[in-house]
Amino acid sequence: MSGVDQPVSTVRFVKQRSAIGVAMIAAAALLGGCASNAPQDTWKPAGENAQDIQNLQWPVFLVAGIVGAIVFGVIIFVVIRFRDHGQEMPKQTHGKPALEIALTILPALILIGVGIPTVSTVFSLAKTDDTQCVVNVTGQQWWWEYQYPVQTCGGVDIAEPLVTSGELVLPTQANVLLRITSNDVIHSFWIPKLNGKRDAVPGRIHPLRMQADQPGIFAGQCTEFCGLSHARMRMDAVALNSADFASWVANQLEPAEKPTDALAAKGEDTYRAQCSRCHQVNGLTEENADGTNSAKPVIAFPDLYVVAGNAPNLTNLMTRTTFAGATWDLLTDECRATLRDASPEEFGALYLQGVTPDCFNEAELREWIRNAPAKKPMYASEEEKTENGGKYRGMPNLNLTDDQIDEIIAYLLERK
Amino acid sequence: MFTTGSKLFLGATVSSIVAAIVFGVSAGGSDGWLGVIGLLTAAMAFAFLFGVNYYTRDGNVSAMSETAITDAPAAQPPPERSMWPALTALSVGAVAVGAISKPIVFKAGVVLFLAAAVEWMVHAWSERASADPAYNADLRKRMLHPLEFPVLGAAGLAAIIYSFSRIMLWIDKSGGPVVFIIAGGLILFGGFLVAAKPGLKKGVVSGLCAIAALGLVSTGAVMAIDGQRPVEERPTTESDNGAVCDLAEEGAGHQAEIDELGSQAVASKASVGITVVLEDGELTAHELGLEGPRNPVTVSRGNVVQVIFKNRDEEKRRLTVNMGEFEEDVNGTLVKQRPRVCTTLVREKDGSQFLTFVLPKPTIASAVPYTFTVPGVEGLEPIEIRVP
Amino acid sequence: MAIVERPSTVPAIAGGAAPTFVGPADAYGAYRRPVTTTGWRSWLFTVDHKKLGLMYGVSAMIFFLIGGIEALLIRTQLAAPDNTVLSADLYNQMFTMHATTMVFLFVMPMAAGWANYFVPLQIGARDVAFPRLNAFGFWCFLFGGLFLNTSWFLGGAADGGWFMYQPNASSLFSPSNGVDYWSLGLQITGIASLTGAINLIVTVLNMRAPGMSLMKMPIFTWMILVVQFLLVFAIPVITVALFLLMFQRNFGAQFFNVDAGADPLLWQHLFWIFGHPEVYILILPSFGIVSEVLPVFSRKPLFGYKFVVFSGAAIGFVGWGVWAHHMFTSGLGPVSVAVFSVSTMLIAIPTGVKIVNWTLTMWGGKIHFTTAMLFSIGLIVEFTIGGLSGVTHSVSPSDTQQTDTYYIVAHFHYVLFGGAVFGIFAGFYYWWPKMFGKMLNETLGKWNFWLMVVGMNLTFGPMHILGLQGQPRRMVVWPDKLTGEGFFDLAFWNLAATVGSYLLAIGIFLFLVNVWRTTRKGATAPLDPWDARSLEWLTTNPPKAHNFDVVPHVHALDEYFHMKYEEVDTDTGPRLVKVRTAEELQAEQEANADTHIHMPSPSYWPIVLAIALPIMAYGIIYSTLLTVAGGVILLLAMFAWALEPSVADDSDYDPPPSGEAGKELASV
Repeated sequence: MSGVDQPVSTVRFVKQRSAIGVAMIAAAALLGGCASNAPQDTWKPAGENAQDIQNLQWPVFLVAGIVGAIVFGVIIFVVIRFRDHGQEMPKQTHGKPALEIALTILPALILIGVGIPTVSTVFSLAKTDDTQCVVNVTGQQWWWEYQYPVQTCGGVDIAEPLVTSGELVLPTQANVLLRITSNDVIHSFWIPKLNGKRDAVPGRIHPLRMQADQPGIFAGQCTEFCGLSHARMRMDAVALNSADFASWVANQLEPAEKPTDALAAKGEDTYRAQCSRCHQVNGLTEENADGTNSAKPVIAFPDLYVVAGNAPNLTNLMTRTTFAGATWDLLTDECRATLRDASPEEFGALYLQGVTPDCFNEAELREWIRNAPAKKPMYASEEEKTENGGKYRGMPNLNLTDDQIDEIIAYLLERK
Repeated sequence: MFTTGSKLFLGATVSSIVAAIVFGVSAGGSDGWLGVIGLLTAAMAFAFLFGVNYYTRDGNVSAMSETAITDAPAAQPPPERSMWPALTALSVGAVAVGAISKPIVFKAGVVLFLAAAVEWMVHAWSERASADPAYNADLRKRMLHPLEFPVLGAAGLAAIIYSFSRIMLWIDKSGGPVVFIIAGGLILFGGFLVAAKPGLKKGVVSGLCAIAALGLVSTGAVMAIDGQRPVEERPTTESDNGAVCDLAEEGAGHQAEIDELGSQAVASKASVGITVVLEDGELTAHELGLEGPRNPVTVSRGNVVQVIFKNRDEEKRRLTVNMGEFEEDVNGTLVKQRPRVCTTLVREKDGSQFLTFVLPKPTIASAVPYTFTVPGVEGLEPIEIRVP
Repeated sequence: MAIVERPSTVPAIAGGAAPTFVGPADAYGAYRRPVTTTGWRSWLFTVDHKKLGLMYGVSAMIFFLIGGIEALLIRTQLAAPDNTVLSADLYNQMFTMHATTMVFLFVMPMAAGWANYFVPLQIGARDVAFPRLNAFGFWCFLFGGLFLNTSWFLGGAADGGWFMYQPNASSLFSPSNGVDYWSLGLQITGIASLTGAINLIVTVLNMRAPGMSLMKMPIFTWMILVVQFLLVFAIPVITVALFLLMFQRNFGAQFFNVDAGADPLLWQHLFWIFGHPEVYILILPSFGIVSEVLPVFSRKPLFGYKFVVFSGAAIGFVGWGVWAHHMFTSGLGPVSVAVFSVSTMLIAIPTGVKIVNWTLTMWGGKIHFTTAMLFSIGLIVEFTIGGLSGVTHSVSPSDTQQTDTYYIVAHFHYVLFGGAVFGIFAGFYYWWPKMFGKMLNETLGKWNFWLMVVGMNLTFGPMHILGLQGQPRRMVVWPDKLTGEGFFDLAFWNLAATVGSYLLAIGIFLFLVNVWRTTRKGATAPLDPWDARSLEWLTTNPPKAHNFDVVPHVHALDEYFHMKYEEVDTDTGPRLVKVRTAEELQAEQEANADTHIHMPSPSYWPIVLAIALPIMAYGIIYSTLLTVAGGVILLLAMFAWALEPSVADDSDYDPPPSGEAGKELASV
């Protein structure tokens, strides 16, 4: 076929196709902004920094949408108006420089309009001199650790450095500066509702501002590809008002209490034997030969066992609502929903309850302790350990018996 | 099939291999290996020569043809002038002189000898390839240019790079960029001139290039002989002013000079977490993001900590990190370890030094607190480091 | 047995004896140059730019199918929450190899194929400047690509993402040999790009037909020229980066090791200084193709030819100053981020110029909606969407929210699929009659087009939403908990994207059906089926081995069009009238055919030289001895290449069939 005579219906198709394009952009803007209540929606800021980004990005998206609509409009017009309907061979014109130059300057002007607020926002998001609290954030395969230095954080004194993982707890209405780094590969810290991403690069400290307007819990995810379980490296940010934050800090600084329950007491021994090499519990002491507790603290030394040189501190495990890279819940689905849907006024109290026995989601934790690498792909088998230079990446399968798991869970349930 | 010459080398190859086996089996031991390696090397060389001979049909016009002229001297042009005998002689001389004086001369002689031998051989062969001298010259080029161009090009490039590097090392640090800019500008200007005047004679351009190259190489040679600019050495272990990293007490023999780590971690200077300043006999520390001087400071466990030490004191000072006190089980007895790291001496006032370290264990693991101190300053209050 | 050339004349003999010499051609060397023009040997040893172009195309399409299957597996895995079609390890390999295959083994060689085939034809040349180098480049690409894909069967493919960030791709964190295969394989295909680039630059600058000034050069050739310059500067950067990676992994170097004081950001800078120009390397050839197709089917010259040329060159320049926009979240500090934000916005201007010019080319035209034209219009639309979402990324604070989410995946697939791939398909439908002398079926072609358009928008459109609602990329699973509420939640859009990807696959399958049908019973193409404008149509379909019987003299841009059409004054003013048909022009060519055409002879050595490279690469991974063996082959092939005669001897050819003497390949 010579390609000269074409069915007229083609025009309709072209029109439709262009319409699809326009619809896509519109749909993206519309649905991306406001359709479903996704926890990591980037268009639902919950703090000053994310709001700054939002203030910048929606006009840009709008301008892009308008430009797109104009271009598609013109293209639709052209393909209809200038289709071959038997008109004469067009004039062989090679262009109109004046028009060309005008159509070059126009986008340049639009881009200047976009560029100026962009640059000013870049610098305002990089400020560090109005910081009211500092948290050291360390990424490692495949979880986040948060260390709070000695300081006055949002009006709350932190007298001793404290450490937690998975959930970053912040005072509301305070400018918090995260100092982000990594222990192994590059990760990226991202709580969409509070700010954009910042990579965690080993050997470098990258600052990132965080501020939350209201108490609540905000989902996040590691966004720099970091190996096998990248998809299961999550985190949450929890914002508490000043009073709640103060009680949270006070609770975190208390060393672990002796187990009260008989099973948990047995669990302490099991924990000491099986877990304490890597997982620190502050206040756990070594056992004398006669079975009494000595005053000597048990110090974990994960640097000898794990490539990242670090493992989560479990002193206050049950004050958190998730575990293993914030991927699985310590709360049952029902309690989880109650907490996450709680109003800002109720949220603090609910969160400070921690994991109560009623709300405890035992199944996931049990599976994890039984065989962690089966639940979350890690590099933690014996064979892989030799490839890693004799260290695990992630938690190995400890081959615990059911009894041992029961004891450890009982012990952990009191860590709050 | 096989030409005479290639048969000879094939035979030599086979006999070398046989000899190697026989020698290896009979002699044994390390001497045996040496002999086997030598004979196998010879075998490889013979094999290579076999290949060359086979490939070039012994370089013999008549090898494949009965009608070739083999006995018509009148048809053969007279031999051309050749520089290879002279160069070969020179190389032998260099080998001899080098053997009793400098190894470099010896090596250069060997290289020259090998190069001259190859060139001479091919030259001699090509002269008898046909009766047409122009064609023969062409043939020689065709055989040798694939070797000569890369080798000479690489050698020339190496000479230029080496000379340039010697020049840059001779000039002092601040002069380097200036020279670099001027040299770059000259090259650009030259290129511009050549481009702007396409009618320029080839001879002029190549003459200028030759002069430039010669100038570069001779300057490089002079500066290489004169030696590099003085590079300031910063001693790390001297103990003047009492500023010693390791206080050597209680048998704690652990001594760590952080210099090595410090100098390696240049890139990390972008991410300084703590700045420690010594001024008026007082030590103050600032943490990234936190206001005012901090004591104690907090560092993350297991992370690389990057510290800048600024000395505003008149004396030479260094910052030392006391990394706690641990009991370690060494062969059944408990030994106290008190690891320390420190910066090099900051010699000038307002000088600064960079320090990185890792604290793998929390504060509670150590019998004494982790601290920053500056040895030798009277009544200095150390800054405590907390690790969660 | 010639390793040397015959003397051009019989040597003069002293003494006036009868010239009874044996010619040196009889005396020296092991191999003559091959001369076959049919059979498999003619393909293995060919140096013909058209044959190499076809082989580039076929190999690239096979890699396209492989990459496509990888994409379908990825989408299948992501169709439902916590899906288990692929393991985490396999998924990581899959997306790494999908990107690597599509970028390095499909779009780049496909563009190289188009360039190889059509640049000499468009500039009125009979071959490229360095035919053997051209063949060597092709074999490097093919062997490099095959080498890379053998890793699937030898312990797993690379799993670090196509960006291969350090230290995640170091041997501690990626202990399989996959990354070694990746770095070595790309090193080999890099040689192909580099030699190809040098070859085409020299060809375009030196071998244009008389009268063809640079500003009379077809726009496709212009874009290819810009791309080749980009390649010449970009490939060395990735080569250096890959060498550092290879030494880090295989020989214990410490370029990216934090413990030894290195900075992993070094890798990112090196990769993206290559990686961003690479984007333009991928897209500009397709821009060139549609810039050829749109004028032909709008029956008008390209609007603002000079602006399109200079905007292409401007993209080439500014493309070097934007690499860090891939690193807005890497912690470069506000100054760098602001600078790169602004430079990224700058590059939108020349890109916008192109969109405007294409639209204005159609404006006032007489548009024929052939499949090639549909793909070109499709490119304008889809690329505009990708371009606009690109502008939203240049706003760096906004990018810190969007980067590494599906919004980015959507963006670059609109640019690369809606841009590069649509351009390539426009090229298929436009140039198929030229290459094979048969017309691709237009009905199937339109099905192919519409399925691809609907498929791609359904696949990549929802990804905008997924990304803006916070779904990060490169995740083997997405959890149900994060999908949000309502019917149009993220699960819905993920499923929609998967369905779209299958539609897309059907569209591409239809293309294969079309090719198969056309090959079997396609209509024979007329000499000038599209009433085209550039010189490649001034020869037979498919072109003769020597391309043109007479090298044309060029007087204008769109020379072929002006050969056919002239302006004639009529009562109603000047009118364009067809004064010569394509057949007449062809007859004119044949009537004046050159009698003495010198064509390069085929050669054994490019393929031998190229096969040495993967052997050396296997050696680096497994055994030094193998590397040495490969090195020996490499050296011998290099010298054989240097020493082989520059043409085959006359007597090596069969006697030319009567009547065709003087026109056949190298029969002189």
